Amino acid sequence: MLPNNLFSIPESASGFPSPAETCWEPPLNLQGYLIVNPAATYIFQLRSGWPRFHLPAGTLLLVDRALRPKQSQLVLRIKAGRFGLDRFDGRQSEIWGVVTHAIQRYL
Amino acid sequence: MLFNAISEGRWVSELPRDQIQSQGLILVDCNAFYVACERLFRPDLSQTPVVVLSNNDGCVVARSEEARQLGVKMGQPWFQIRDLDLVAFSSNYALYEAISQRVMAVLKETGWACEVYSIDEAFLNLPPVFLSIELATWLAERVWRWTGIPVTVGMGYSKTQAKIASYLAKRVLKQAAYLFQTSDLERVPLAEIWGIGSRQAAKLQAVGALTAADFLNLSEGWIRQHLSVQGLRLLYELQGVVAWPIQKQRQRQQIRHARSFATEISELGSLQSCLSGFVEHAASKLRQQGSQAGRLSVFVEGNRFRVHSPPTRLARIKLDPPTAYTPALNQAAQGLLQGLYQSGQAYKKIGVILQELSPLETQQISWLSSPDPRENQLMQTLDRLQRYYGRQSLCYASSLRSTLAWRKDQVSPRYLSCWQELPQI
Repeated sequence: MLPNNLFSIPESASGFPSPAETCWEPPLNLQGYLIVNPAATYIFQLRSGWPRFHLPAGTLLLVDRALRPKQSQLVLRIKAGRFGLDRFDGRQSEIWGVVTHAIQRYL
Repeated sequence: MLFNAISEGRWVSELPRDQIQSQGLILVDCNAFYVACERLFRPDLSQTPVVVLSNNDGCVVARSEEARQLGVKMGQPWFQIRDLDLVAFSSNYALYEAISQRVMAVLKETGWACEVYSIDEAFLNLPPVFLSIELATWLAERVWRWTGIPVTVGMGYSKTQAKIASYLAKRVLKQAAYLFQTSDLERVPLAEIWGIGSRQAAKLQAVGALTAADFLNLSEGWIRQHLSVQGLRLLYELQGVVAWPIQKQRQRQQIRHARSFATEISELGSLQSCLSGFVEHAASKLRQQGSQAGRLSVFVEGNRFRVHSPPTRLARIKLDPPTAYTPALNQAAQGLLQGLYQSGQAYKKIGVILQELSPLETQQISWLSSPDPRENQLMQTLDRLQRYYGRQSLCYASSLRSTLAWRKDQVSPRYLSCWQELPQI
């Protein structure tokens, strides 16, 4: 991560202590929100769009291998030696992982 | 307890049995690890023979089962097998290290003491009553499900027993998990046992000891006399008494960084920039384990296959005071290189070795120079930035050119560390 002291103010310049100082909480952390299990989560990118799942090309998919897929969840699976997306229906074999998030970029 | 007994010259067999605490040890060993990493994002290669080549694409360092069946040997030079119908990868250590850390994270998550033994092996230490095939299968399943890497799990009552169990599971029984049995010792050749070198194996063969079971029948006195205390420790380990306990953090005794060049290099400037990059790499490892170095060596090697090449030459220097500061280390290394270099010679390999490592905090005060605390801060910042933005983000100008010299023709994408190289669907 970035050096901790990059944005901190030197003590001598801080003036009056903030009344809210003791109530400090860590800021929202997207990493922790999106990736619950870092050891088992891999990031993929869509080379072409998947209109069936409303996913345009370039979308990032977070795939958690530790989760057991449930009915109709979006899963990454292997078919004839290639990665593909599918809704889980309990019949597919070779499930690679469960898609937990899709990240799209607008700019 | 055991170490005391050994230093007092008493035998374990003389100790009261209840004083020897039995322990459970599990060795988790990734199967053809580098190949498994390459296959993780290439499902099309799941049945194809795959090999991974060493740095500089020299020789085979990992092979899939299919490649083994084609007759590919470990360590075989690439040019001998390039016509075979197989897929070869240059080694992608950034990828292997990232996946290794995931595997180790799964193991550490169990809560048992864990020693990361190498990039693809780790020991777990747990109460012996827990050792069971069910537990081992659960663990192997979990590593596979979470990370996608297949592993073999060997269990025993010492590291050596766990290692033997893993060997039998992989090579003989072809199964994912195995618990060591005393009767197995008869079918384990001594050469396969951890800690027995070829010289010692020859000594043992001379007295008719060929298997691990034969070794157990030797007297403790004989072993101590001929194989020293290391041999005695091995005996206890085979009996299920821990003589090599688990080490949570392995401290390196020395840090070495060396590589061969793709083509020979004869100009000093190129050698200097390579060396500078290596020093940077070694220094960052040094600080990672919280150490400083008291001695630094540099060596250069000519091409062994040419007649008029310089042989390996090495020079060393004492670092006073010991340091972990990259500019100081680099200055020392460059000074040594100046002395080693002979113009007109072609060099094939260069390397740096940091020795006499001590913990950073016990800095000795030298009368000649007082260490500047800003040096420490600068190095911490550098390490953080490199960790965050990648190794190439910030480096010494002198090491910039060195990346050009390596041959990595068939390297796979940096799937886990580069946004531009993510696995694609």
